[in-house]
Amino acid sequence: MAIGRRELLGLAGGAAVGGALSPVPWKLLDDSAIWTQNWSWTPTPVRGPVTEKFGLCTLCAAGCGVKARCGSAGVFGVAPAAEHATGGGALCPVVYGAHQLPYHPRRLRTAIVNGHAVETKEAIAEVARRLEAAGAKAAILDERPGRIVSALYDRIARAKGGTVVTLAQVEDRSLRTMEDLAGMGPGTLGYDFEHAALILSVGAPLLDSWGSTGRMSRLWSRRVETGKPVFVHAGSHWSRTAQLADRALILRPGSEAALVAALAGKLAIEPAAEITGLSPASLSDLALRLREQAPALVVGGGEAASSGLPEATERMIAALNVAIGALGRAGGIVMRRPLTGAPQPPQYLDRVPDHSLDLLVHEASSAGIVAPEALLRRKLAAKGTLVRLSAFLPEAFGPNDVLIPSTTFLEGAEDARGARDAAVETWSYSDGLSSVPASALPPAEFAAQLAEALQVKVESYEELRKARAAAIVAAKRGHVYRHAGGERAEATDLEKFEAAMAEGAVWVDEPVEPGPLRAKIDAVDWSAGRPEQPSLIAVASSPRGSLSVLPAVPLASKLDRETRLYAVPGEVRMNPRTARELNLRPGDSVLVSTPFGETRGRVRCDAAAIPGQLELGACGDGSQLVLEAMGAAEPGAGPTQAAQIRRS
Amino acid sequence: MRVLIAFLLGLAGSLAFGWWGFPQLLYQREPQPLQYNHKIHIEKGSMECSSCHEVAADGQFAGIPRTASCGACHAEPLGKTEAEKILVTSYVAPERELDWKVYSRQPMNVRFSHAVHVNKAAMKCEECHGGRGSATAAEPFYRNRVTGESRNVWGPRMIRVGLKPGEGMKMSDCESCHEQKGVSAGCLGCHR
Ligand code: SF4
Repeated sequence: MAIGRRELLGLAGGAAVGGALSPVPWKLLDDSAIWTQNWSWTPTPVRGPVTEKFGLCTLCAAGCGVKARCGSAGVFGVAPAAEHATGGGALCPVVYGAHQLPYHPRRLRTAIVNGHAVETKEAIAEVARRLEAAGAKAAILDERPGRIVSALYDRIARAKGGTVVTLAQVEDRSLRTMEDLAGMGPGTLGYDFEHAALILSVGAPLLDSWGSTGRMSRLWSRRVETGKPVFVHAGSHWSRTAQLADRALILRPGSEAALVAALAGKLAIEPAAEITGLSPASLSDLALRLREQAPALVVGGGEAASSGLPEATERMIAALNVAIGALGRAGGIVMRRPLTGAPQPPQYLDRVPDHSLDLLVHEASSAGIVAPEALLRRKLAAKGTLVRLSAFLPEAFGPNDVLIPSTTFLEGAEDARGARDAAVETWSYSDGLSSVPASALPPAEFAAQLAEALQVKVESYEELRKARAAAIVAAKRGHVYRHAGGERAEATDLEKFEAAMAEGAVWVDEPVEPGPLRAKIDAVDWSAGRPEQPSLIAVASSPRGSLSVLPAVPLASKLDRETRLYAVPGEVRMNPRTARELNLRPGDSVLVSTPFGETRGRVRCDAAAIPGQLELGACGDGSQLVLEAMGAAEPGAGPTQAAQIRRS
Repeated sequence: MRVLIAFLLGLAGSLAFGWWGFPQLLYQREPQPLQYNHKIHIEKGSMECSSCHEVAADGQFAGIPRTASCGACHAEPLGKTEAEKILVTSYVAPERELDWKVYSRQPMNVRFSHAVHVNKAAMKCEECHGGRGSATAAEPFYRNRVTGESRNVWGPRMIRVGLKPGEGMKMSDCESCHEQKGVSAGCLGCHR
């Protein structure tokens, strides 16, 4: 039988109809859909039991309690530890995705000396050599003082004649001025917000990325039930704190001093109103409330991603606090007992003379704390060495620098002293919930290896931790809060104390009975100048914990980019009206310059932005340029800067 | 006429391939590491499913038992069968895990809470797993070469009609049961 073209077509047609009536197409369709979910390179969690463990957030010094969901491959979910003394059952948004930080593409995996990759041991030997050579011109920058490892840094620095320094965080700025005036040591005062009736923030972003998120949000929501504390915000720009506060007063940039002087009765209301741009009635009303709505307190400090208020203004704020009776009163600025067993508090880096250091060892293991690069470099002499213990590659890197890879969020042993602004000291520790990568050194291990290389005899981290635990138990003060059972217990038995702490408990010191404290305010200069009024100001925003060189972790970038809550890196957010006035369109590439520096970005128009204000995102790549432009390295440069903008 | 014959030939060949040849090609038979007798454990050992397949108190399912839990009873051979010998010498003694092929394993985007189904909905294991618990030997495991999963997820026949309990664990099977019981889990109830 001859087979022609027609028969072949018939055969093919039959096969096609038969194929359509067979399971092949739809089964393959179904299977290939499942196949796409099972590609070998798709990350899949290792199967196994899921456990819940308690750890510490190390993205800032507060050390809020974290409840982590752990599988066989490590941590895969993070939630707040309810009732935590510092965290108060809340975490900063960025922390919910921080368990992904260990896999960050910028993870530092090798030590680097003078631009060359070397073994970590070699790098530490090099640091030891340079530290020895620098002698008294060496400093260790401890971003989270009061930890166990801080004691190790203290011993190393002292043994070699150097010093330990720390950064003045946004919460420190007002407190340290008050401590200076009261002749008290660093870290000895805290804010008793819980008993305050009125809190006036002068440029301090109290309700957004300030202190510990849990504490501030708990206070804010408590107002609904008790009506206290009343939040009044006086700042030179609209911010989330201004929006959330019970009352917001928007001042002319740089006129904070006039406001404070008027509230203290050192400047007449009329001229103060003229300088600040506020109405005389609102100024006198606030002055009256500060005295009548006791206990009230005033907080300065400025924004985290910019500079603080000038020291003279901070001194006025301290004096105003004394004048309204806030110092030493419940609901005011109260004394805290020094943390038992902790070393001497370090001095502040911004108070170290410029170009006076040959070596600065910067322990940057907390990915969420910002250290303005310009400030670090300015403290170093011309050929000084900057050593960084960091889990991530920094944005800038000098030819003399040494980089040593460290652990990050939930990796390795860590302890936390608690929030700087808290009214009492707290302490908690964790042995880490994720495995430590072979290349990374936990800070304690770094300090131990450095001490060994320098032949400085120090106790081990475990010995020091035990000693502090023993000292706390011996002091018979405070209580231990266990998350697991939600119980409070007295810290009277070392074994039980250590067992609870190992499970992630937190020790909370007893508050000091409030009593009168004195501060020398006679010499405070109350003169308030008349600042020039720029037509355009730059402000920088950044969610707490993400204020670093890190490109945000996925969840945070989702929050940043999709909710548009914050200006994101590389964008200059402005009101459409401002953009029209400046003849700019969305997407235009622009150069923003301030008296301190320049930064580039693309215009984003957002009707929620305040006219006349340029919002810069200070998290992720390029944040150092934003910090520089905002004058973050210049103490007292203020929370806003006069800005100019042009297409680039 | 010749065209019709060619058409029917093509149709028959294609149907035969689709309904008979294709399943043979699609699934690959793989041996279980051990011939496990569920029945003997239930009848002679008076055990229940949960004796080995624990549902943890916090709701997560511990799944396939680890060798250590077999070792609790089988530290020494409890019989003379070949399977018993292999279990003790090759797995329990050297503390090696058995590489069981799981008939009901789902793609990674699926999560399933045994605790909710067993404790809250009071479902019996058989309603999803069929009579596997009373089998005297591990049934053959057929791996789908495309998805890598067991044939049991789809069901024993190419056409998914007349499935008995324990035959088929596709999303449509979950949905029809949920619909019958009037329970809605939403997308995120089962998918991550
Ligand atoms: S970043 Fe700081 S305040 Fe935020 S959760 Fe972590 S420790 Fe707490």
